[in-house]
Amino acid sequence: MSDPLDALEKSIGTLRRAIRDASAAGDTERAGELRMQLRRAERAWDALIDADEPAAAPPRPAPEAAPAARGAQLPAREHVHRALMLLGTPAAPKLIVGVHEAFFPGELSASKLSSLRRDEERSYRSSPGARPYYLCPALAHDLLTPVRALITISTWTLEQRIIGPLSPRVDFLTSAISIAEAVHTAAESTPDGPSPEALRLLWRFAVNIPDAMPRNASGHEGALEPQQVIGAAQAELDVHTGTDRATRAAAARRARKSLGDDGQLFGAPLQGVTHLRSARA
Amino acid sequence: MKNPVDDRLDALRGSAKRLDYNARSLAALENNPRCTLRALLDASGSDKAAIATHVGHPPSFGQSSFAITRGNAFEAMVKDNGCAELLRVLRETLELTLPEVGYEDLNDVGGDGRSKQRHERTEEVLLRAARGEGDATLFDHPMLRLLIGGHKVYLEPDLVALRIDGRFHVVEIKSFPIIDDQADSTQVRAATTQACAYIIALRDLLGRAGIGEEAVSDTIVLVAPKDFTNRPTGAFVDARKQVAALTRQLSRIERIGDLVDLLPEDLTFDLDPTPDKNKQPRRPAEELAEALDQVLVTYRPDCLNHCEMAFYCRSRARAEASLDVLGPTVREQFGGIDTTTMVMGLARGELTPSEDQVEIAAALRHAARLRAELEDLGGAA
Amino acid sequence: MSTLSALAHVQAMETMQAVPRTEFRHRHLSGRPLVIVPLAMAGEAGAPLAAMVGSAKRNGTLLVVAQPRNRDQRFAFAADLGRIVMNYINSFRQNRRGEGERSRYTDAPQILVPNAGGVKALADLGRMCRFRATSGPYAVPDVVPEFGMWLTFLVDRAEQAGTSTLLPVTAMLTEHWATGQSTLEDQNLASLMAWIAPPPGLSVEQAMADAENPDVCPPAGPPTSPEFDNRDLAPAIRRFDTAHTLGDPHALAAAETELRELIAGQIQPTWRMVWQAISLLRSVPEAPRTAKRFEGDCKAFTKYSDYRDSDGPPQRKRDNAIGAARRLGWLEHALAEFESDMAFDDRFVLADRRSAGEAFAGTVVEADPGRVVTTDKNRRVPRPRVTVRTEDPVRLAADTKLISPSLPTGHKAMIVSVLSDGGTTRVTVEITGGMGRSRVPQQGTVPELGQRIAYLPDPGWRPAPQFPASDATPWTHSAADDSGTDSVIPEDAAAEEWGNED
Repeated sequence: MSDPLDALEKSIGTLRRAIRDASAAGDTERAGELRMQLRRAERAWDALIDADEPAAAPPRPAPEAAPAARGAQLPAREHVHRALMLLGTPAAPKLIVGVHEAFFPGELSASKLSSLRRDEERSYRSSPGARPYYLCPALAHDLLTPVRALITISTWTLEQRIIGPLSPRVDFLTSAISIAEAVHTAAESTPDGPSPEALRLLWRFAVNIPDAMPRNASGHEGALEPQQVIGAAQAELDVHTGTDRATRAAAARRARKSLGDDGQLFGAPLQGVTHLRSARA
Repeated sequence: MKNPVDDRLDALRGSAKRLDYNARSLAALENNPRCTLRALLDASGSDKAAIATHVGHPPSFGQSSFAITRGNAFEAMVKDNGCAELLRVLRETLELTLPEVGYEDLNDVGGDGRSKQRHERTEEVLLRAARGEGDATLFDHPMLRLLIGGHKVYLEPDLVALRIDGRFHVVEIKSFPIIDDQADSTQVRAATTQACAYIIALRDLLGRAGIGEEAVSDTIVLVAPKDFTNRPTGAFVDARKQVAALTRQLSRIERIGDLVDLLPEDLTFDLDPTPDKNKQPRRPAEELAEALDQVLVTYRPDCLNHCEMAFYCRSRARAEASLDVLGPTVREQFGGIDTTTMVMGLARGELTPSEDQVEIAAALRHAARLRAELEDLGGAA
Repeated sequence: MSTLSALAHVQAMETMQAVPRTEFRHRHLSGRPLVIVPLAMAGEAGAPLAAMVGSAKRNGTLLVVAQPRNRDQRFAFAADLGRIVMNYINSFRQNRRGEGERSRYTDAPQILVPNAGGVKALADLGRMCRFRATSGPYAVPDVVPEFGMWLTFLVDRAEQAGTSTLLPVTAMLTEHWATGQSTLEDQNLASLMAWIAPPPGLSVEQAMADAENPDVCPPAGPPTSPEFDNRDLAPAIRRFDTAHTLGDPHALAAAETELRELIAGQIQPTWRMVWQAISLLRSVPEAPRTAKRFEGDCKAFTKYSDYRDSDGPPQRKRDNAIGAARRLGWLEHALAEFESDMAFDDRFVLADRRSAGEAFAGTVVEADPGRVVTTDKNRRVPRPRVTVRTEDPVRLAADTKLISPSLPTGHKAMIVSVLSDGGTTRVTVEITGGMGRSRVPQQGTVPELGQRIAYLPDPGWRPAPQFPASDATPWTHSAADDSGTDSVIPEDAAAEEWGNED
């Protein structure tokens, strides 16, 4: 569509005409209001002009993580690691943040996570194995390429890090069990019990698992019974596990055969896609 | 190989880049199928918004960023955590069994988001599923393709679900609420119209592999927020009639040649017929308007909600004193009469009615007499 | 639509001027109506953005929700608006007249909104509020559910033809004026006003163009214009959110002021226009039977008010089958009565019905005033017959019961025959009522030769249809498993989801 700046200038023109007309008609109330609108339109125009400037400037190359910056990122990395270890499954940034807020102190935002991921791969490639663990993407079972927005830990087995058709559900149910266990532990071992965020997180999982909610629930998360969630999730999990495990294991075998160490962690490069697919067909 | 009709359509569009049909322009096919101008502009891939703007009637339907953000956020929420919310809804509506949870992400092919690649992958995955191979039940953002007037059009439903031994269902995820089991009928209709194109494209994909169209249900699953919560609920919407209507309209596009043949040889809607190095000045607006004026339009007030050309068409209808301006309810009262001039002429008895106007002319004169009586007696001013 | 109505639109289009279609205003217009201009956030049925409310042009209160996606702010808004509306409603729960069963308030509230979308917004708000709990984990102020129930009462009542407790001003205007544009465009208050009363110095054409220009005439809502959303509102809400996150009170106050200013610029033009429309409507004389219908409003208001005083539960989410059927029958009946009332009062409306063949007027060309028949019970009663010659395209059949605005109240007749006679129609009617108690009709109750008279169908008194008694509870009653099942958590979960977008 049209340039927003053009549109804005046009509406400023219209406003001016309207103010002229209102003043001519002696409607001072309306004219005053139009002037207010006009002031804002002018302000918006200014803002747009400002916003255009950085884009026009040459993009600065992303700096190699300076020691100080890396130090600042360490806690975030640790946060993610801790949340993933609690879940025991590949997880999306939103869930990682949710788990962090439910069970751990400190600040962690989803936007921080995406920059973290890029940094992990770069760091691995510059000196592989320098860190005890890396945060890496989950791998698609068929193409062995990275899966959108699912994060895993390098120390997990390939089987754990691969996503087959049933894996999203299997991982969801497994996460539900982990969260229910964490809530249970908090209830047993801390004076205040689980945090409201933890209960709400468990509630959001439980409502989507058959028979996980108490029968005569008021819909209130306080009424949740972690043991019941665990039992219900396990019951459905039993239906899927066999098939899912077989898919993941077969894919892992292929990955070990066809990919190097870095590929097994960060996924097959895109150019390999056509080749792999025709090999399978 | 290009045929003469394609050459003519290219000439109508001129130097501008071809715009393909999309879900929106396909929906317009159903909203106003009989409009020649819209049919020609769409078939030739012309930029309606640019043309309307150039002749001084820019379209006004922008979309609020709030609505877009809300739509995206809701869809993401429904699909989060292995489609947890969506599975609950589909287990209720489609009665999916417990093992049917397989998920296939077709948003990209190993990071490659190009339409062609995604379409090939979609085709492979869906055909495998149709033959009962693989574990997938949910197909996230498949990339479908339709050939319309010889041009490829890529279409992307929110989700397609396949029940074991069952049929494919198009799932539309919308952020308008279903309050106490009722949703806004205009919005449901728009969603259904959009889904029809997906159903047709999906049937086309399977049909090319010899799979019959009954493999795709013509009932769509609408997934939308329940009441004032952010949690989804599902509902079936019967799209049979709309699928049939859209199929009919698509087959008419193939006969666009009949419409093209009626146009003057040198007609074009090109904004820059003689491209200048400085791109200015463009074609005079009056000249473009003259070209548009040579094509029939079927203006209806609800075009204002759908079509980029609507303001142009309305001003044209006003200039012609066309009853189209007043909308179908008023128009229907004067069956067969097109203009206010004719209505008033017959009402005042200044025009002699043609044979098929005798009846309406009598009714008009009667109404005019009543009106005169009311005004004579000093009606409300 | 009748040919006459359609012709009025054509006339308006030809003369570029609105054409009156009634002689009177058929809606009661309170001396102190409460105007509400609701704005909602695009894409969010349950997210009010702002409202301007007040019972006079000069005392409007602007309420703004700085972050419409935040549940707490949403209900704080509902409570603020609720307090103003409940104060207004309670001011009518003062003076009662009559004893016992017949005791009722002498006046009733009237809420006016700009357009039909405004009614829908209040319906959504009512639905959102009326089941809320005032205690427990997600408690809301007491006024919230009370406000929700009252809104639902008003919205339900608005569905009934001829009522006046909740009305969109666009509907009141189009009832009285025909414009030279479509029904769709008539729903835009500014476009409608452009035809009826263009701003001084502007032609109707110019005013129409301005009406569709969101810079000159911001939309009357509930949704704001997409340009405004993207250009002004979204950045302002972002600034508010940032200030909120940083906990900077100075920035927060500045952001709130900015938002209020922005929304004021969008809502005030509509506010003024609604009041302008109200004064236009005041200048139209009120139809005689409007007062009788307003009695009905007072009665319904009293009944619901007493129900609220007895702490009755909120209206159910949806009627059950019996309730829905009963309600539909009642609405149809009310519509027929209202149409008949209007035609009786207003020769414009009568002419409209005549043009459609649903009524007729003409001259008495034959009369048998002394006709008497013997009933089954062997009583001799007067049953005069007259034949009316009319030029109207009569579409009524024999045995249709009729009433007449040209004869004393209580006059009743029935069509005996309708015969076409060249360009005219001869309708013979038998007078069946309204002639007094004696065997000879009272003077002036039977039309005479040469008299001009009009007849229209009697909407009649229909007995309430009988429904099975399985549903003994009143329709306003909400079963235990039906109310309060809106889980309160999802909305909270929702706010959380929204907060985490990256």
